[in-house]
Amino acid sequence: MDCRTVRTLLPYAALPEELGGEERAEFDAHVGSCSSCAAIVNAERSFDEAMGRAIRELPTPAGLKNQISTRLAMQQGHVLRRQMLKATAAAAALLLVTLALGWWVSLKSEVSADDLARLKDGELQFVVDFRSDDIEGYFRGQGLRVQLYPDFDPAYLVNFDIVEFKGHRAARLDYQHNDARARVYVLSKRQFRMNKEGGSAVSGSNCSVEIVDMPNLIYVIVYQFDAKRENFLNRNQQVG
Amino acid sequence: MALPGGQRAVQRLVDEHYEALYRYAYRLSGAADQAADLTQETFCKAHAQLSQLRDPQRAKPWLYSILRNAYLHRARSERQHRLLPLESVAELCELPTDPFPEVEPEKLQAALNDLPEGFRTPLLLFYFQEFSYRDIAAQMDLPIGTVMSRLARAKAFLRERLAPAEARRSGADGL
Repeated sequence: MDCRTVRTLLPYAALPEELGGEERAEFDAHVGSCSSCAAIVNAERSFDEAMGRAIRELPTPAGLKNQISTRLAMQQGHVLRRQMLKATAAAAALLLVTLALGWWVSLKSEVSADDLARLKDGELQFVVDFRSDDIEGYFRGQGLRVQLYPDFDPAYLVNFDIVEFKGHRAARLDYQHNDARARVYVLSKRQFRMNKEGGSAVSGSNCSVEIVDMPNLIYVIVYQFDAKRENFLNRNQQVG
Repeated sequence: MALPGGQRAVQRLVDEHYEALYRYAYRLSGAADQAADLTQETFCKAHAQLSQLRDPQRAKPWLYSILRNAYLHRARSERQHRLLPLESVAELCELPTDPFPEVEPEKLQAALNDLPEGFRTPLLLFYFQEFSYRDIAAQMDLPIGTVMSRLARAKAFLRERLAPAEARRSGADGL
């Protein structure tokens, strides 16, 4: 190894892992035999030692370790508090939703098939010529979301009206096919919940009742006398 | 009360590294209060990001890296970045051969403060005797050649600033 190579390798010589093995041995051998390179290497070493010592020699403030531990504990506390706050907020939101749901449910009136079957006829709108969306539009204009009962043929619809029941309004649709008559009450699930106890026969009456539960609406169908569901079905649904 | 796993691991890191990290922070920032704060911040961040430390053997460079990033973030936000033209940091042309005298701490820190961070960091990591050039290059996201070049320039700068007056004169003759 010559002087030029030794001076090129000088920065690597400072760290044992950077210059090792055979190259290190050649480097040391040259420095041992060349006074000029030895002076440079020693001066570099002396400089590095002086700098390293000066840079590393620095007192650590008393109490720093405790300060770090305290700050870590505070951070942990913050994290826990944040987690607790989130959990509390979630619980509060759940409670609020539950209360709101309870309040909303409590606003609904319970209605039974018997109650509806015994409603007296009022003044009814007489249907002359209509399309089902006309009827639905009429109810919408009155603030009621109503869909005609989809299984019944609109051709059999003869009357419609709005009835008030337990403080809420509902649509009443009268169907007639030959002598068979049926009244359909369309109740919003927002306002009513059905008491489903009891059978389809109405006590002390010649009516029978069918309740059809749809996603947003309840259809209470009161069949009068011997009328049956089959009498009013859409023509393509009728058997025979 | 026993500490949870994450806290126990961080406490172990504190025990092992807080003194060295404080020194590094001090030499980077040049102020004791900033150094203490940076050291604390480093461990807080380490605690929050502990899952990122996959190999516990690499804890030391990981912590140094967190500290440097925290320092750089502050330096940027406080616009304390010093810009020293590269030309003013001389290459080491001719090495003086006299043994180097002891360095006064205040002068050393003043000289370090005048070095741009990109030169100061490799120098500090080198003198902490903890890192290979490869480690330094990885921490700074630089090629090894650049690290070595910056280190040589930083050393030359320090030598010029800290060498006795007569040595500086003779060194200047050689530049």
